[in-house]
Amino acid sequence: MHRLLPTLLTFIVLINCQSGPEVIDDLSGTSFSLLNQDSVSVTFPDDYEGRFVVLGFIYTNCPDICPLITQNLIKIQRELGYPDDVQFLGVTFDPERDTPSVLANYKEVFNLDKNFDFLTGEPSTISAFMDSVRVRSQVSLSTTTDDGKKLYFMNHSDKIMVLDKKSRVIIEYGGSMPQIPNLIIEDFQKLR
Amino acid sequence: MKYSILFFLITPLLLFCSTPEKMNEPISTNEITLSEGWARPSKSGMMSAAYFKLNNGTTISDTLLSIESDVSSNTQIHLSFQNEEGLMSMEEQKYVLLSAQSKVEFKQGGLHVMIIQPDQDLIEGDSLSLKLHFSSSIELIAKIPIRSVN
Repeated sequence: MHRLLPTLLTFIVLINCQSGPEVIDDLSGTSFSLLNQDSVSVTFPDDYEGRFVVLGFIYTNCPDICPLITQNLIKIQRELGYPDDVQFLGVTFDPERDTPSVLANYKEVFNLDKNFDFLTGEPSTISAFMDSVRVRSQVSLSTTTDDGKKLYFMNHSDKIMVLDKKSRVIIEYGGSMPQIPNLIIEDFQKLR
Repeated sequence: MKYSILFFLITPLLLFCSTPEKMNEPISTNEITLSEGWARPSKSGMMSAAYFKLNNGTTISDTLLSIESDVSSNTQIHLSFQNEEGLMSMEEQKYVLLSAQSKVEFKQGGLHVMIIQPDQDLIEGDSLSLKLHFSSSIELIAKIPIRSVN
């Protein structure tokens, strides 16, 4: 037994050295055909393999919380120094209204450019995608505007997640709180 | 004549002596004011929100009943919160109580003025007007800047 002990200890040390970040979820086996704000087809997550992905979930008719999530994504990108190997994505859970052109307007309002895209898709695809990342949404309030248009709002998960270069979820936090960017940046720099 | 001279000498002294007591009293501006207001940029037909601080400097409570904007015919007061299922949610506020000598803050993630489908682009650097209606029949008109917080 005594002779086995050094071998056992070496084995444990080696395992710890190679363990890397804790994987929350592995999305590498999934594949979703989506569209970005320029109507360019995107296959998620395949098209982003080899890059980190920082991912938030929004709908553009959201007046308050989703802009906060978007602002936090922007802050993370800025604080990290706009790295080339990190793709930022906002995926809508309201594909009926959030068409590529609407997402293009949303992107323009936030004055975003390089490595920051918004994604939408067929409602059934978006539904399956949101299930895979455990994001929930449901229609909540609805109201009728003065010109007779029906407008609805949604209850939704509040989440930002980070995928590693192998499409594995390695960081997951709430999305809208002001302290979130610092927490994600701190964790990301440790795991990178 | 002697009494008149005495009056003019003593009155300023009494007023001066009473000042420290008044300093400890709540400062009443006798008005409701709006400060630090701003609205998020948006495109025509999309969504924006406005935020600000309200200060009731009067000694009487008042109630904010509604808000109008010059850029949209649809504005509503909402409160964001996390519901019992852990989802982010909103609830329309039919009124906002503003107690005497108190402040209420409209801020991201909390109370906000929803500016629904503005009829023009809300461009950073421009401004918009809000008209706040109170139960006391006070109308407060404020011009606030459009700016991003990126």
